[in-house]
Amino acid sequence: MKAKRLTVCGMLTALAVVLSLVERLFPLDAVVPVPGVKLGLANVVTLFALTRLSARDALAVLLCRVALSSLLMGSVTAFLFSLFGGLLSLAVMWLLLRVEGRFCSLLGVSVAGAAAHNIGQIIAAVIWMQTGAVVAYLPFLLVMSVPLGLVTGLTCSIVLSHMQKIDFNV
Amino acid sequence: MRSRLKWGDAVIIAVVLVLAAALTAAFGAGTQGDRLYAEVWQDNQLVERVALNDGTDRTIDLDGHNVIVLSGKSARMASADCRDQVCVRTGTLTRAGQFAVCLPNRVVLKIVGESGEIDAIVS
Repeated sequence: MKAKRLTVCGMLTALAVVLSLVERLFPLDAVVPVPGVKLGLANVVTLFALTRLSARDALAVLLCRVALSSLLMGSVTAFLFSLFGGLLSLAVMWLLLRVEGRFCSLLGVSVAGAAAHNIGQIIAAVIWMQTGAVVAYLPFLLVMSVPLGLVTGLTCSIVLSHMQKIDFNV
Repeated sequence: MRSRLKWGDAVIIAVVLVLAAALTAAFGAGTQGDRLYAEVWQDNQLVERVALNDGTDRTIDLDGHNVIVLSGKSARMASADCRDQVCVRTGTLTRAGQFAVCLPNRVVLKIVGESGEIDAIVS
């Protein structure tokens, strides 16, 4: 059982890193006039890990993904921002998943996670820049997190229903 | 499907949008004025403050890391030596309140507006 869980975590990490790479190839901020806006495909993996594995496994996958993708293509700043955003997003989604099904659906969890990711990144930016000026980016990013969160949430929901069909269990 | 919407989803989306609106209102201050200035901040310190008018034509080179071009009543980050190039893609700034941020180099280029009367006293 333990080996299977470890394998699934490894696969999810690899998937998350590849999704981050793919995302880089299609910079969304070339289409939408908001600097630094991203689709957040790697968030699908975090959400999946939270629902089908455990918070601990999701955290492990997240930390490995952030470390690996920063090593592959990022900088120290990119690492810092992804880490803050990822951790806050994970915490918020973990909390909301406890009331998912009664209070909200997976889509709401995903939107909140996307918003939390942006807030976390801006917190990291404020610490890094030592100025609150960057908070002015946050409103745009928050508005964008609604449609983008819905897309990633829907993606995760589709993946989950397929996993149920093939009776995937860890 | 776990994507069937519930009332809580509307609450979550509303909270996110209200937060965005509140932040916009909070940061909307100081973006008015008929006189425009371009400010260049590095490591949270004001490096340059240049009045923008029709005849403005200046290039500010921050040790080769960032090159800022001020032209007429506009400012843009012409180049940056970082990988993400977010500040360069931000494009040309023309209105008070607009800004471009280069996170890796901790550089902020912003346009601030001021009303004309204060400067009239100085002159």
